[in-house]
Amino acid sequence: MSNPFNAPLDSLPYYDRDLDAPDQQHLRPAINSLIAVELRSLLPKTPNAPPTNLTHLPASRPLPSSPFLAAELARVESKKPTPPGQGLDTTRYAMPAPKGEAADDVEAWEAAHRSSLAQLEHQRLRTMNGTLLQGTLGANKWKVQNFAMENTVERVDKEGEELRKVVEDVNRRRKGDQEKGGETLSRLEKKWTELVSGNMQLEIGCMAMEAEVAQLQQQHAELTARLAATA
Amino acid sequence: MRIIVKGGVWKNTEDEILKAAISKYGKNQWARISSLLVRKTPKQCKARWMEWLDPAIKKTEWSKEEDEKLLHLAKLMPTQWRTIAPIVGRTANQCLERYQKLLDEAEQAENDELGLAGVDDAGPSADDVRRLRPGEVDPDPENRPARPDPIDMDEDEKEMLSEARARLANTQGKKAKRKARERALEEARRLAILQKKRELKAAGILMRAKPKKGGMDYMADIPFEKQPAPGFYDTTEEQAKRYAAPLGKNLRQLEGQKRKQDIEEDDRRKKQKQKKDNKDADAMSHFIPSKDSLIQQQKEAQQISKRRRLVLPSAQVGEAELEEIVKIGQAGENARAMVDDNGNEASQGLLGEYSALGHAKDARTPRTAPQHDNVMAEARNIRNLSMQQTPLLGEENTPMHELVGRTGFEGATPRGSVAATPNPLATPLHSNTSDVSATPMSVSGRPGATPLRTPMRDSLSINDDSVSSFGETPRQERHRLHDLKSQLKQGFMSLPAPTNNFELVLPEDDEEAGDDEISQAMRIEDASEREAKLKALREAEEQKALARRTQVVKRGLPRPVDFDAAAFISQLTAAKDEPELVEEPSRKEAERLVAIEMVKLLEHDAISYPVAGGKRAGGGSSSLPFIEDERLAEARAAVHAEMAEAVGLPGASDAVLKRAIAMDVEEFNKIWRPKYEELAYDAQTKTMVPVSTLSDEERIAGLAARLDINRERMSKESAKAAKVEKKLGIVLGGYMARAKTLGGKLTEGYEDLARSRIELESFARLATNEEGAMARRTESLKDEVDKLERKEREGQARFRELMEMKELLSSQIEEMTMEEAERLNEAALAQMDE
Repeated sequence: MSNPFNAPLDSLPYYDRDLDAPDQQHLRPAINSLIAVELRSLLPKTPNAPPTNLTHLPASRPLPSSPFLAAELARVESKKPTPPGQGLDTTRYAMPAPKGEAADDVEAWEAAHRSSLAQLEHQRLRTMNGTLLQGTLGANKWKVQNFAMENTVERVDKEGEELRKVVEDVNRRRKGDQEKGGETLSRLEKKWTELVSGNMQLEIGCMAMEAEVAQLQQQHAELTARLAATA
Repeated sequence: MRIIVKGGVWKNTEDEILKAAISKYGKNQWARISSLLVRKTPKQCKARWMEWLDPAIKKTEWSKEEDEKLLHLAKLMPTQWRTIAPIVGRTANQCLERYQKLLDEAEQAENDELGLAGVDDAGPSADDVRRLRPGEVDPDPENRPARPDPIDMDEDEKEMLSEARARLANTQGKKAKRKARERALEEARRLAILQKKRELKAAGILMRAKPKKGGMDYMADIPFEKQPAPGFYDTTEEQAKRYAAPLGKNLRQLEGQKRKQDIEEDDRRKKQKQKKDNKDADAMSHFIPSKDSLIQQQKEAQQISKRRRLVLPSAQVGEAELEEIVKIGQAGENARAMVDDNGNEASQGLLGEYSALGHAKDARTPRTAPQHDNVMAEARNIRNLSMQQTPLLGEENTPMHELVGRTGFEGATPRGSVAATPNPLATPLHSNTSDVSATPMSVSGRPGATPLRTPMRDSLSINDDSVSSFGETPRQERHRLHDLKSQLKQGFMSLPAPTNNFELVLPEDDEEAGDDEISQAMRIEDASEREAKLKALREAEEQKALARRTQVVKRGLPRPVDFDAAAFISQLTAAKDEPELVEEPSRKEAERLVAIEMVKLLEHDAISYPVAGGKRAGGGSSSLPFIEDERLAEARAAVHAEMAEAVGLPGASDAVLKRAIAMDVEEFNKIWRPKYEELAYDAQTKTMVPVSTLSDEERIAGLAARLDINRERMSKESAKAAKVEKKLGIVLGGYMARAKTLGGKLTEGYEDLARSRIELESFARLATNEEGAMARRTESLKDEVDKLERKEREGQARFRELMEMKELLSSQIEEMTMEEAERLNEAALAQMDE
């Protein structure tokens, strides 16, 4: 009950047709603007910003703790650039010869040579894969993939359709319930208005009668007095 | 008014109409039938059918038998034509006409005989006598053939024809038509109601039949149904089963498939029909056999079935006789052929020309004996009987013609037999018998022979019948037989000794096979065969050549791209200058020889199977001497044996040996890797040399050179890979595009799903909320209403109270005023009294 979504709402949209009345049409834009204002307060300002009004939801789970992840998160939070030597090693995409002081180091040269061999092997694999794909293998693989995809799409569509049906059922039930309850409500309301007007009339009648009675009483009193006088 | 006199000549159209009408109405409703024919009465129609149209009526010429029968019967039952007719097999009219005609002919013949007719004036012939004169009306036109239709028919005739056609084509009567119409109307009404119901149902209005009040719903209940008492077994499963009523199905469909036989029958019929349709397609297109022609066909078929079997006299030369003749003929031929082949003149004489038919071959059927014209004689007799004056007047008795074995008053049918065809095979020897036509019989059958058997005829007269088979005395007979026997024995003795020549017939296949063997040698080899043979040889040679390659080439191991034999040898020999080798000159020599051999082999491979990218062009011939396959195999076996010996598995097979020597990859790497690490590339000599021999600078230079090489290769390879990938993009682009669209759809679907879920959640929550709201509202409203009601009740009570009070008061006041008035009156009276 603490959050706005759990507050009891007194709305029966299928029964309360006051807004649809022709003399109430001017209210609708005003209501829409009100709704928009409230929604704006509910939804986050930007898509990335954390939502403010979702306190009713469970707290977010913490990320799995790992020293690398923690370090990386800390780095991102402090908005520092990636230190050199970390992240992606771009030298693996080229074959640079050792430079500067490393130019005289045999080890550096060896490393460069090994890297070049590895890249060549990778290139060979790439070519081989491409050649293999050129035959029926690639086409088949794509076909299988597309087939699976089609199936998935179909399944998802079907599920969506079913869900929509359920939603419709819910709405239909709501409408039915409200209309049924609405009848009782209108009956009661009618009775209420009748009773109110009847009571009003009754009261007026009573008042009139009271005045009359008072008058008669007065007359009665006068007469008794007069009779007493004459007697 | 035009008066139509019915009758007259029958026309073809009328005949046809009549036939069709009879096929429709039968042979009893002549009035109805005649209503179709304007100019004919029912009687005439009937007469026409009975006398002419009925297919049972014979219109062929009168046969001799029929004539005989007719005359005979006419004599027995004079003028009773209706009785005679069925016996003769013609109509009464036909009989009468024929009778008169026969008499006319007889008369004419008599006149001719007597020379009554003049020379020129031949007098009217028999036909002429009965012919109609001009102006005469045919008394019975029913017996005449129909007059053919003119090309331009009269209007009224055409009208009649069309009307008849219309009436006859009408297959249903009035009542049936009316019923059909009513049925159709009913059906239409039912359909309309159905349609209406359906539409109403579609519109949401359900029209259920009102339930019958006080009656029984036969669709739902079963009258007088009595549930069987629960039995021993559990039948809930069977009861749960629902049986759909088999509506709109016939029994066969219910039973399942058609019987196989039926299917086959259907297929066959269909096929036949198709064939027929194909054949008659154009013919059928403009010719549809009308109903009456079909009927006619059926009638004819009936007629044919009624026809009696053709009864012919039994053959004069029987089956058995014919067989015998054939046998004799064949035996004679065979014997003759055998004797002719042998060329034995002695036996040739024994055989005569043994043709069984003999002279009967060229015999002609002899003429039947002249016969008496009984019919004419009879006719004359009858005529005489009718012409002659009664003998009572004293004249001569009627002269009657003598009839040979013919009619009399003995029986209902005339006597007489059919003349048989004379038998040309009849032996002339027996011509002494009176009847030529009769087959000769050996009346005097020999003892032992079947009596009444046709004798054997032979030109050698072995079975000569003319020789009296019975001798004068039994003793003579015995003598004769004995003689015959001894003669025969002598004849047999003079026969040549049997040669026992067997003719063996071999199957034809063997003969052909023998032919084949001979011809095969003679035959010129077919070009294609030779080519095939050469090709096989070539292939075998190629296989051998492939097997002859070195192991390096066979297994596709790496080979030097550029091979310099001299450099290689120097390198090898330099490497062999090791101390242990120097001590043993013989081993050194051996090593040297091996090295030279190896170089030779390498060179051979480089020339014969050039390496891709090498400088040497292919197609050269190496200097390596050719080694025979056997020697190679021997060498290999020797190596194998030695190796097996070394491993300790003498006599092991190749596979076992390989397994014994083989080394797994890791082990190999363990040994090979350190050795390889010891080597480094030398850029100057472009060789791999031990690391220790190189300085750091040199090593760096070598590595740089190799890096450069790798870079070049990289650029080449990457270009190739990029090309391949580009091509892949083209080849698989369609699939990719499809995958992309599918991905898009999937995302959309998921988004949709998520939205729907949110909606569902929201609406469900809203629903519970609304339930609460509804309850609350109703509750509060009810409270208010209760309150108001209470208030009203109170108001009412108060009102009533006031009302009562008011009444009470007003009555009191009235009383009081009355009293006052009285008092005033009294006062006034008192005043007046005073």
